[in-house]
Amino acid sequence: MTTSTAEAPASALRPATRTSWVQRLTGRQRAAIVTAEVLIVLALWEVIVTVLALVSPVFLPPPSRIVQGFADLVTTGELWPHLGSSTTAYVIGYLLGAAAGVTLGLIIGGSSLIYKLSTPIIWSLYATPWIALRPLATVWFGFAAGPIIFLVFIASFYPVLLNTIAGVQTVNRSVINAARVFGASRVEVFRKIALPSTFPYVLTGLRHAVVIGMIGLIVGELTGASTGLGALITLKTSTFKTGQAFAVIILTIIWTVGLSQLMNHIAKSRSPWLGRKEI
Amino acid sequence: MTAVSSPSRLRASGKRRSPRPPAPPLRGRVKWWGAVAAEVVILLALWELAVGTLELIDPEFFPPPSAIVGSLADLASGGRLLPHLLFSLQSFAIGYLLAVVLGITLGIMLGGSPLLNLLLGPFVWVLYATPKVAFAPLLVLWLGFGVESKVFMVLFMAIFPIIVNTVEGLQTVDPSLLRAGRVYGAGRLALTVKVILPSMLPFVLVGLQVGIVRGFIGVVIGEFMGSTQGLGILLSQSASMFQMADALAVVAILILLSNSAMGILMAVKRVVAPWHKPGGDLL
Repeated sequence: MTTSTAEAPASALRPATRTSWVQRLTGRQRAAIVTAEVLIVLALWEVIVTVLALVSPVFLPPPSRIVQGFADLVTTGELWPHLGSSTTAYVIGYLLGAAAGVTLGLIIGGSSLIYKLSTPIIWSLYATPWIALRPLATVWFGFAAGPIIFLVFIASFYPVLLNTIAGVQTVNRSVINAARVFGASRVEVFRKIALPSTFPYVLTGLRHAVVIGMIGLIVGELTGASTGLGALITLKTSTFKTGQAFAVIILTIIWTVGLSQLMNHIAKSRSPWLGRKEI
Repeated sequence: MTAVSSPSRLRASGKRRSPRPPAPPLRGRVKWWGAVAAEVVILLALWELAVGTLELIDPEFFPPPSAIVGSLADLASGGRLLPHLLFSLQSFAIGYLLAVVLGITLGIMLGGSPLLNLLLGPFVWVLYATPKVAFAPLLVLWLGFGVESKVFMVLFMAIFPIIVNTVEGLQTVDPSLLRAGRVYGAGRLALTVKVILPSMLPFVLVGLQVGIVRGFIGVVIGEFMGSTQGLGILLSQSASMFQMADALAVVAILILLSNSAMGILMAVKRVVAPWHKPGGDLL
C-alpha cells in the first residue's frame, strides 16, 4: 500500500487542485506521527487491561505481559529449538518450492503447447485451499518435519510458478526478433534474452512466495506438530499462557515482514530499472 | 480508451452509454471448458491406472478416483456430509460477506482520506503482511468451537486483501480523467459515480478474488483448530483414522466449492467490469 508522497496527486475524492495538510508532511513528520500513534495505542491497551481490568489479561494480554512472555521464552531457552526447527523446515521447503516453480515455470511458459495444456489444471487448482492437504500430509510424510516441509513447498511453489510463467511470456518480441536477425540460435535467445527478461518476474514471485511460504509453515505447525513456532503458539494458547503465545505471534510477524522487506531490497538492487507495479 | 462514438458519452450526466468490448465468443469459452474437462478426465484416468490397476502407489495411502467417488457417495447418502458442508458454507458466507462490506468501506475511507491513510495505514499494512493463521488458536480461545470463531477467521483473513486492493483502486484513478470530468461540468457525485467507481471496480474485484482464496483457508484452518462441525473437522478426523478415501473426498469437495466461488466472481467481473484483462493480480 502506498502512502501518498508530497508530489502525488490528491486523493481521488478531492479536487486535484487542493492538497490536504496531511500530504504536505515530510517523511520524518509522518514517521513521528505514526510512532506516537503506536505508543498511544500500546499505552491505552496496557491501561484498559491492567488498570481498568475491562478485559481479562488471559484473553488479551497487555504489552507488559507480552514482553514478559517473550523474556520467559528466551530465558528458559524454550524458544530456540522451536525457532530452529521452523527455520530449517522453512528454508528447505522454500528452496524446493522456488526451484520447482522456476523450472516448471520456464518450461511451461516457454512452450505455448505445454502452456495451453497446463493452464486448465493450474487455474483449477488456483482457488483451492492447499492447507486442506495438511492432515493428509501427516499420513503421507509422518509426524516429523516432513509434512511441514511439504506444506511450505506447496505454498511457495505456486506464486513462483505463476509469476515465472508470466515473465517468460512477456519477453519483448522485437528484441527476440532482433536477436534472430543477428543469427542467435534458440539456446542463445533463451539464455541471453528470455532469462534476463524473466528475472524481475521471478523475483516478484520469490517475494510473494516468502510470505505465502510463511503461512504454509505456520499452518503446517499449528496442528499435528510438536516443534516449531506454530506448535508453540498452539501449545501456549491451550495452556492459557497467552502472553507467550502473543510473543510468538509477534515473532512471526517480525519474521515475515523482515523477510519480505529483505526481498524487496534485493529486488530493487538487482533490477533498479523496475519502476512498474508488481504482478 | 475505446474510440468516441457518440457525444452523449462525453456528458457527465445523462444516460450511461459506455460501450462494452465484445465478450469472448461462446465457442471460445465452450472450447476452454471442454479442454479443462478433457484434461481432468485424462489425468483421472491415468491416476486410476497408476494406483488402482498397476498399484504403483499403495492405494491405502493415495486412493484412486474410483475409491474417492465411492466415499463421496457414501458420505452424501449416509447423511454425514450435509451438516458439515452446511456448517462450513455458512461460516464462509457470513464471514466473507462481512469482509466484503467492511473491507470496501474501510478501503474507501482509507483511500479517500490521506489522514486516515497515514494513521491507520501502517496497522493495515503490517496486518496484511502477517500470517494471520497464527491467530487461529487465539480466536478459538476467544470465540469457542462454534460458528463465531470460523466467521471471524474468514473475516480476518479475507478483509485485508479487499482493503488493500480497494485503496489501490482509489489511488490509481487517472487524474486526467478526473480533470476531464470536471471540465465537462461534473460535480463530486457525478465524478464519483461515473469516473471513480468504474475505475476502482477492477481493483476491488481482484481484492474480492484474493479474499475468496484467503477466506477458504480461514474456514479450513479455523476448523482444524477446533470445531464442533465442518468440512475441516471431517477431513482431519478421516485422515487421523487413515480413511484416505474419505479425506480425499472432502478435499475434492473443497476444490469444487472454492473454484465455484471463484467462478461466480469471475462471471460477475465479466459482466460488471469487462474491460479488465484477466490474470492481473496473480495472487
